[in-house]
Amino acid sequence: MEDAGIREVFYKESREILDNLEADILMLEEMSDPDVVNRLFRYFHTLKGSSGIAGYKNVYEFTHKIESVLDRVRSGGIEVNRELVDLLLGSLDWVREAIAGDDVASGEAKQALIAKTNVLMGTVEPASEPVSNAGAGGEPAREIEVGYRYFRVHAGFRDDVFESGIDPLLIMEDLAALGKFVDRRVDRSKLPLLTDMDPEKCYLSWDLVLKTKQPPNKVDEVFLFVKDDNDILIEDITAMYTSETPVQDHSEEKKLGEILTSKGILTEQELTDVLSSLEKNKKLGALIVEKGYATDKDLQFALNEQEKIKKRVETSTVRVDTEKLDGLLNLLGEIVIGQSAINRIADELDEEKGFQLKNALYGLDRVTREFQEQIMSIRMIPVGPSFEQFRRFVRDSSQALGKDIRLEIEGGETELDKTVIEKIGDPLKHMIRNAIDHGIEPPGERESAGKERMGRIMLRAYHQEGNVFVEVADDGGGVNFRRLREKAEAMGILKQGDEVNEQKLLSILFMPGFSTAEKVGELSGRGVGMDVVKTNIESLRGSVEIDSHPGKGTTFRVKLPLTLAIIEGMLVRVGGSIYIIPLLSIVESMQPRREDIRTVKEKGEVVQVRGEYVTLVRLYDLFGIKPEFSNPWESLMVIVESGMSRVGIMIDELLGQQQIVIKSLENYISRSRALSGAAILGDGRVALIIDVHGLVEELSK
Amino acid sequence: MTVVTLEEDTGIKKIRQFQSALRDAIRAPDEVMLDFSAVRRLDCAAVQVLLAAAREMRETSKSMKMRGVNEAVRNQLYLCGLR
Repeated sequence: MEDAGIREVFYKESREILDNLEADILMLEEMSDPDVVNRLFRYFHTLKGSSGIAGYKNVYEFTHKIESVLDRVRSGGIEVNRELVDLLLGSLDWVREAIAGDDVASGEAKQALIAKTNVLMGTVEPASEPVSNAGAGGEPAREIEVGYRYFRVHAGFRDDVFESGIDPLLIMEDLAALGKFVDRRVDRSKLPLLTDMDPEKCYLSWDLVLKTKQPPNKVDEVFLFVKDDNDILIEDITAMYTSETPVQDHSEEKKLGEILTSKGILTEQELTDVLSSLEKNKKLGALIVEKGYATDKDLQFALNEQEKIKKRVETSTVRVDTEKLDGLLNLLGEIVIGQSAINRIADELDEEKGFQLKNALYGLDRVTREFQEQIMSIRMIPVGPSFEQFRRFVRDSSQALGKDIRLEIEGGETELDKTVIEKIGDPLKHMIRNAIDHGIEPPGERESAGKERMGRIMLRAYHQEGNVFVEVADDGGGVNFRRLREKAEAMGILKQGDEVNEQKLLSILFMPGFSTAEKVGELSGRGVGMDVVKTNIESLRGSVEIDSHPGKGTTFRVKLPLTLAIIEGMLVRVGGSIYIIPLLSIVESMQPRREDIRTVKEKGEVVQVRGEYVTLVRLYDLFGIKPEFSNPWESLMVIVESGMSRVGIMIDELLGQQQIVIKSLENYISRSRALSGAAILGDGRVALIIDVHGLVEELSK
Repeated sequence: MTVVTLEEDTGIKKIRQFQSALRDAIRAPDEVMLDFSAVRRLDCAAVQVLLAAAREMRETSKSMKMRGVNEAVRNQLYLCGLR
């Protein structure tokens, strides 16, 4: 993704965070709640991380300071008072201005805020800290504005141009320094074979489109000494780029031949040759390889490029406000409700009329399902672009730490609901940051462990069993279980001598405030992050697990639902209430035998199912309702699975499965983690949706 | 592996020497490693020779690897269409 793209993502993200921050800072003034302090810390932490990626260095440095203050507040070292709130609000305003590119007052305001921070922290820093407005911080925001010009440049040189001491490459570099090439073709068709070539002659020429803020005369000046006796053409094509329908090369679907020539694999001449001898029913790629102009590998590379361009074209053609899509989906939900209402009426009609009505409804049902799939598919976008934004982050952060790390992306074409993609950006960033900072070892250490100097972080996405999995895997040193245990004991999470398995130890990493890092790094180590990861992912009805092997690396595996809006649910009845259990979580349903039910210490009531004990959950107890059956052997049990745990939910009756459009429950309606939302049924009744993951968590407490 | 070490002043002045070094390296049966560690920047003449060599290597399905390429040279190669 280009820089402007990253900045735009950051701009949108930060606006939301800043709004939340303001509300929370004001809340802090009213009451000093540790949860609010934690939240403020996380917001600044996220702002810090993203501003770093987007190149807002001044925001990055500043938020790091505020984060330190909040860390001190968290540990009780700084008291929550008016002064602190003033500082936080002032900082918030400054960050807002800095991001918007308003650098007139920023320098002074920033110095004043830093001075206040230093007083609070009890540190004195050099007063002459440079104000970096003119640097990376102020610049990007302005760059987003209009004011670019586009020039099409053709630069062909005389073959004896070197003799006059002119280096065409130097000229091209000067041109590149004026802006950015949005299109670049190098014509190498005149380049002879290595053995035949006279290396003192120039064979190359360029066709470029330059995007720049410089005036036309600056572009002309680059070619000052060559324009008279060489083939130089400069054309201002800004109008083509600022019109309603931009004529950008990369937004058009490219042909394979064009890609091969633009990448310099094939010369124009070779392409013409191939095209002229292309027969019907023969593929261009095959012929190119057959003629020996490119290898299979080159061809594969070009095909992948073509696919990428196609994807870009496809994704860039969807420009619909997501709110409209949500509205559409909601309306569809209402139609589904209406349909089930009609279905119920059909049941009450006499046989013949009822049959006719039901038949008509089947047809309608098929269409609504298709309709729903269509809407869902509009909401689905490939994860690739949001993965790409991490490349720069990995590069910059690893360099800052003196590490050599490569980010590899796999499965970028995997599609996921847009809302889900927007929300996983933050957790992913945390996990990648973690891998860079703690996962991958320094190059020297890697070498002595017999590994490649360059570390590898793999970002992978794939579909499996109706879910999307996203993995962040590193080939670093893996989690140090011994240190993890020591730290957990020091923090009082574990007692000395407690026997815990590795999986349980790893789950400690997700606890708030936990970090094994020895010192606070620029990127991570404050123990914030991993708990945010878990909370964010769970709010998406997903889960995260860690797999770590000492010396080999760590993998974070995030499981996400395809969409947040609709689930396939099983309707069950308990007493007079109807609940919905997500079908994906259901393993089986059965009627337990009386002799299989026991009470086990620390596990409560369990049912033995084929030699395995499953915890029994009495839903009516949990939600305080009156059931039809209170003896498990009279009722039914639906066994559900979440992560590694299975529980059996006791119900009175299975009503059948149905597609459910989820309506969210506001926080004040239910504080129970066992519920994730509600749905309206055909008869107008409301059914609550059981959050299996939350239920299991609640039970384990 | 045949290693070709580029000199600091690889360019038009020593271009024939560079051309013949690459020619020899391509003829060798094993893969070629170009060592750019001493090079701060290249000129158009040097890049042309590299492009021609790279094309011939591709045709013979042999691989040409590079090491020690600094940012400036990387940009130059990119400008000339070498990926």
